[in-house]
Amino acid sequence: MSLPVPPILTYALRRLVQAVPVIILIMVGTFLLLKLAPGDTVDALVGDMGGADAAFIARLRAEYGLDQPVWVQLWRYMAKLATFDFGWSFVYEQPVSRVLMDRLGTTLLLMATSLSLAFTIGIALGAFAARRAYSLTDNVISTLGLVFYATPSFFLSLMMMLLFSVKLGWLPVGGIKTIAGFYTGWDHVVDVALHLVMPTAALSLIYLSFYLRLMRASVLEVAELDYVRTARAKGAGETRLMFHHIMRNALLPVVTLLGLQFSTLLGGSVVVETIFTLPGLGQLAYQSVVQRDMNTLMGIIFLSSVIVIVVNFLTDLLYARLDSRIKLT
Amino acid sequence: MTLVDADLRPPEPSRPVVFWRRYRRNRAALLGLFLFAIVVFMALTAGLVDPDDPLRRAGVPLTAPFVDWATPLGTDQLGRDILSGIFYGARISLLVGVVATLISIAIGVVIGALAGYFGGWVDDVLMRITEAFQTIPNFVLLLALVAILGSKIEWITLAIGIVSWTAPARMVRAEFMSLRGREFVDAARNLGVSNTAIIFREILPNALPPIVVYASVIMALSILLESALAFLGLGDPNYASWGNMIGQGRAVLRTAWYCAAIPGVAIVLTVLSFSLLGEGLNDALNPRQKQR
Repeated sequence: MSLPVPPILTYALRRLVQAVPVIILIMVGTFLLLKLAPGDTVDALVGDMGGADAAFIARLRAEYGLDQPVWVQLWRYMAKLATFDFGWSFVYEQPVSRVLMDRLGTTLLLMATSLSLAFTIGIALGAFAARRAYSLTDNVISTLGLVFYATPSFFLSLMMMLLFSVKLGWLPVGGIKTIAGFYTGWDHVVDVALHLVMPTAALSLIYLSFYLRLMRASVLEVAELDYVRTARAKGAGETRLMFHHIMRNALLPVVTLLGLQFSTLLGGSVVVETIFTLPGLGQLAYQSVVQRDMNTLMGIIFLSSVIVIVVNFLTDLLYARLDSRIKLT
Repeated sequence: MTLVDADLRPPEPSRPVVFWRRYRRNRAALLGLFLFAIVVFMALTAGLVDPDDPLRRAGVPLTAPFVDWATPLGTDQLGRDILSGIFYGARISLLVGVVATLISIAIGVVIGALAGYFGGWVDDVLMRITEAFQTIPNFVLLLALVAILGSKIEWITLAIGIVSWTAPARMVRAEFMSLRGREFVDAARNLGVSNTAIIFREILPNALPPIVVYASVIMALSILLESALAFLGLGDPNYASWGNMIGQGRAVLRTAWYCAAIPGVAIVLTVLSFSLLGEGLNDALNPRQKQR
């Protein structure tokens, strides 16, 4: 008699076991990589103080353990990381974990809105264009998809800023909320939403065009298959055919791409958050590189890797839900 | 009858001719080729259009386009000629795009070939490394690499190559896994051909067409990555770069939006040309995939 464990739990556990070596590899790799960087934390601190005598510098190095061999430092860092202790940020004068948690919400919000917008609009337009393949509608949608695909997000951001903030004055230029507003309740929600319109659009339009192009190709391919012809012969209407028969199979490659590309999307938030001064992880990544705040940078790499792994797990679940031939084992 | 027909058939056209015929069928791909030719032309003639340093002061700061014929596309806030910036920027974009693509394909081919050909623990180890690289957001890794290596154009190009090899590696691996069991590979092995020769001389040429098509995607992405770095002010300050021009134009967006818009359009058209080229190459190299 074995305990009836739901298959999804065993699957989640197995994925967790697989993810651990990848995370360890990433953290060891980035730790060694950042050790190659010219200058360490003490150099940055001493630079900030405007110089110090050699004995004091040596004492600081010993205090932070920087006088130890790299392997000892690596071991200490990994041991601390295992307890989710990311160390101290010398720029923000706070534990890195607190700096990260302050920023996490904004990035997750931006990711969730951009991804869901890009995905739903992308597949809807893609399916729509495929049903009217080679017509004027299809050509317009496909051309727009190609152009957005080629537009860098920072350029799109600037042009939107120019139109909607500078010329028309409809949307705020940056930030996550109106600082002097002190809005509460619904006003706060509306305020944040207004601040997120342009960043979300800038981040999602590129991915929208990815999904659009893939979905269009995929629907065109699936629509040729025998089972679709059978369904049509049995008298299924075009709408039913699309939603019940074609969509489900055509979505599979799009969901795969969604999982594969999520880390790129998260990377794209660095540029967009920096332009729109959104206090998220991406902006933090840029600032910590510029300010040489290596502990924070390591923390961001760890946290974003975990987010990517979780999102990949979720897309795999979605994939299995769509394709019942796949069993979660 | 059939015999006579077969005798009268004209000789097979040569491979480049077949390739060009297939490529030509896609009108968008022809547009892509045209745009690409313009970018290459700009990169080659940059020295003729403006023999001086494109970063020098060439006229009154913030001259609008089409006002002064010494600076046809106007000047930025430091009086630098936007037209010569666009021409010299084409050089940097193409250079970074081509070299970074070669680097990423080279790493991808070696790792994908080893993993796909040998399988077993080699595959396991290499795929964990690939997964690790795929899991880190590539722009964050790029920032970290540039922070370590510095902002020289050579290092930026190398860093872009390092962050974009995972997709070609996976493609090469998949091709190798399907090709390694074929008869021609067995035949080569029985003839005593070494593993290195089998990988590079027997299997690799057969695995290349999808990689060639994908190279156009990597090239477009490399150009976008370089321009994003330059936009954030982390590019090489000694060269005119479209991303950097947009970044500088941001400061005068309110009064002189053309400073950012002109190089932006240049990036869009260049990246667009690579996407269209890639589609044309796909039609020409994998003709069975798409039939119209």
